Amino acid sequence: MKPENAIEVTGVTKKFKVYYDKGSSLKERVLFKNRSRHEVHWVLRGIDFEVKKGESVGLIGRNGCGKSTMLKMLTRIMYPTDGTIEMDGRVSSLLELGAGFHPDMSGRENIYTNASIFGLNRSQIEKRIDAIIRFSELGEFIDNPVRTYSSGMYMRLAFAVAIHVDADILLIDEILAVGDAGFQEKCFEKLKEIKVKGTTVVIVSHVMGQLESICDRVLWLEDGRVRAQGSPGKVSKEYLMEMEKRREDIIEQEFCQELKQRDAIKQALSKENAGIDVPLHAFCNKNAIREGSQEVRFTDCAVRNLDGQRAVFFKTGEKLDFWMEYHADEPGKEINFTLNIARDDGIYCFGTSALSGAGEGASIVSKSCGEAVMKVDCNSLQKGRYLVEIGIIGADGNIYDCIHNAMEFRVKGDDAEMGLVHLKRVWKSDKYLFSPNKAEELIAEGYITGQKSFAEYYATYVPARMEYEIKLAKQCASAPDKKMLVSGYCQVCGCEQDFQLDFQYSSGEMPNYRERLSCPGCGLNSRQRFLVSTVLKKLSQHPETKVYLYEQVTPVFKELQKRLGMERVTGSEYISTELPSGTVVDGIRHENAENLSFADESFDFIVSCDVFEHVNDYKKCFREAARILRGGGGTIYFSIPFLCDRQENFRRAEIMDGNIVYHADAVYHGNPIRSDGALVFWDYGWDLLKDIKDAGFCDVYMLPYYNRENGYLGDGVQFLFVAVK
Amino acid sequence: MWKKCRELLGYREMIKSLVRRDLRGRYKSSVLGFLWTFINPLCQIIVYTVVFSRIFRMDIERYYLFLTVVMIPWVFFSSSVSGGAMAVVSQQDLVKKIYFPREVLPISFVTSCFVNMLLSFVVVLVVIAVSGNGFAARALVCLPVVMGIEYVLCLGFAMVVSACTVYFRDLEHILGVLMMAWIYMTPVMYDISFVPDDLLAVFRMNPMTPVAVAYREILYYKRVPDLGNLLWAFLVGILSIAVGAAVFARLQKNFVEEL
Repeated sequence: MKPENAIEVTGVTKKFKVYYDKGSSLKERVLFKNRSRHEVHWVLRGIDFEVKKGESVGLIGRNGCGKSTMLKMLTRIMYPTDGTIEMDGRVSSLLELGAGFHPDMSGRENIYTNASIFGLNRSQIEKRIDAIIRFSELGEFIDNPVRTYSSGMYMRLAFAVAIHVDADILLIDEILAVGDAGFQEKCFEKLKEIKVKGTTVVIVSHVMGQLESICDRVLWLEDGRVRAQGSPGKVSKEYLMEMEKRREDIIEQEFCQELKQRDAIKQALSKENAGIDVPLHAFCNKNAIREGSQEVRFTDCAVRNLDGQRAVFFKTGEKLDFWMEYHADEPGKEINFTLNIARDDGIYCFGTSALSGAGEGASIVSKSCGEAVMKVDCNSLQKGRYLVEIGIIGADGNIYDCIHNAMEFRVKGDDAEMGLVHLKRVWKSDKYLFSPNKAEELIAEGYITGQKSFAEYYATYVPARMEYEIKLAKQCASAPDKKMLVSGYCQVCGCEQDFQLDFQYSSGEMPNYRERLSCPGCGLNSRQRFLVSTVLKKLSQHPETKVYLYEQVTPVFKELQKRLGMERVTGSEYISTELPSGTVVDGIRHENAENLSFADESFDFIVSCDVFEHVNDYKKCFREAARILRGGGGTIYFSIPFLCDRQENFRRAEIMDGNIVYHADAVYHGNPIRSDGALVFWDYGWDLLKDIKDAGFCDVYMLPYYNRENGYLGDGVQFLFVAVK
Repeated sequence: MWKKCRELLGYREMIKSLVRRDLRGRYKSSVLGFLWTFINPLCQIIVYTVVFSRIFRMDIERYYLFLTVVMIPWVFFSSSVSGGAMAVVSQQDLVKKIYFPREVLPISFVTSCFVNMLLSFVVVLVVIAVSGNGFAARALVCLPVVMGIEYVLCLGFAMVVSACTVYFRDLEHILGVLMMAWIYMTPVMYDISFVPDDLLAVFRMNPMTPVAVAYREILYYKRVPDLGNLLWAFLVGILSIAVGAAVFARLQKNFVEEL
């Protein structure tokens, strides 16, 4: 067992014998051998996980998936059928409150009994008794027999004892669901206190909010195995989505059942009646109610999706068709169709008739058998269950047939919206545009061209963001190993991920957000993710364009090459001073940024990640870059470390006659091909923008990006530099 | 094994609590309350006195004393074994929800019966003093030893029985019948000298025989008991604890599933 772990579970399985009829007396076991027939039920089929000391882990899953069994095994109340469980430290478990409470003894006496069952000795209990009584808020009732307590008081007392048992490992099973809101708050505060002290906590709960506030990690158990592990935000979202999907599946199944039943009724119809006189329940909802003279009457109806199939679930914005079929005893009458939609809680949503708004002289004449359809191109309904009423009325408004509750359909919702209707929208906040489609989340419309525009931006946005960064830094510092997972949406991978945050590359108390928050899916850190997703977006808008990168072995290059293809992406590295630009060594192309070997105007885009601070003559670099870019729109996207409070560029080092002359302390950054790193030659300031313009670019600006959702953090704002030729 | 003993030592507060709870709860809500612990044996003695001196005449002087000094230790043994069978089953709520070394349950049950016996003995000693039979100090010194041996014996049996009852609930009733027969195989109501030679072997095998004889020697005959006899009981006691602990440890793994 590793020393940093508090709990190690390896290959644990557990089976239960479910008896058909248990014979627990000797006679039954001997005489009725058959009775002890049992079915073997495997509750756990192989669970592996580790919990580090001080970590808090949540367990979620459907009822019966084995969460409580797992906890019972951790508590040593039960033993696994196979596999091992190793625990380091004193274990205290709150599987049930008030174990061992004797109804005739007073609250105080029961505290002693209960605490002793938890393994405390007399002196330990004495030390805690006052704190326990105070926490339970029972006041003078503490000396009354427990028999007289209400269930709330009982719970308070039980919890007060349980939470004051100092344990190294605390296991909690769904008991936090009890108690009034005020007390629950208190319990949570106390749990957080315990966490800070370094207690390892494993908690089973169905309330996602509780898990998110306490747990560092969540495990999702399903079918006896660990289905998913990760940050609470991400896993609980996955879990809820899965539960919702299951619920929907059940509803669809029931719907299919219902359709089969209706078909059965239809089959049973005698030949003459088919298509003429169809009983209500052969084609309508169970609760349908019919009225009207029935001279023209419905014989079938359905809600259809865009494939023309009967369906019960629709998404907001999807196509919907309401189809109905009718029969008229005497054809030739003038009719009109009506349709009304109400939500299942009674709110009336929409109602119309076929001829409304159709203009003068429009009319429908009934045939002997006919049909009508109301086609909805894009429904604007929110999540819910809707009931449809259909009707046929005559020219003077007399009702021929009206069926309330004829059909029902459900709309699957989007978490982003609530209410009754859906409105197609886009948000704008100053220069930012937010669209509900996550993939286009952050597009900065404005840009920063100098200190003045920067100061404006800074004052508006940065201070509030810094508060969050500081809070996150504290959380990370107190996490085990000073590492934590932050959930968010990775624009490169196109899905939710848990970004890794730690104190690598950090110079002090704040983590280096810019260089961390790395995505486990694509391997890119914060600045790389924004750069890559921006470049991908741009290049996918302009197919056939080519891009050049000043790197070839890095994750950024690999990702871009993977997504755009080898023909569009060219990369290089600076391998050694002696080689001429253009030579290929072991598949890596050597280029000197100050003297590129490419032809003029051979690329549409250039991408550079933290390269330009390592070149000796940056003006020459930019001139070269301008040279190889296509005129009239060729763009270079680059990132560099940039200090916003400096106006002039400061040269830290210089190459004179082949030697390096240092003007300031040597600072090295990581170099992908050399272990001794790359020397920083320049600290750039606002003058850089002007210098780049002079090198041959017509528009130079900085794109600010900052977004918690996508894990773009750092100093309140980060910049992507853009220069357009 | 030592780890287990140390763990149990850590839980001694729980054992104390359970014993206290049992004693307190036994006569709670009754008018005379705790006094019943004393009134019970006292009444027993009174009834024996009347019956055996006036109605069912026995040839033994002060038969009521002769009987009581062995009857009370016998009740300790029989209730430990037959009552102890339910020690785990009756606390199944506790067992299913909380971890504690399960051995605590039979230990606290037997201890609680032991305490009851001690309290009853207070009454017996008073009666002996009042009746004029008197005490022999030298013999009395051996009393704690005998009590200790009986405790060990009861505990061993209680452990085996309580673990097995979880799997076979019938055991509780079987033991009731067994105890009823067993009392006649122990010289409780008659002296050991009454037993014919061919049955003596059976009596000698019974571990409670030397214990019963020892109690009688100390408290009725006022003689120091033959410790050699007690050795057999002691050995059986140690053996029963060893077997009991092992059986219990093995069976307790699946308690939760069976309960």
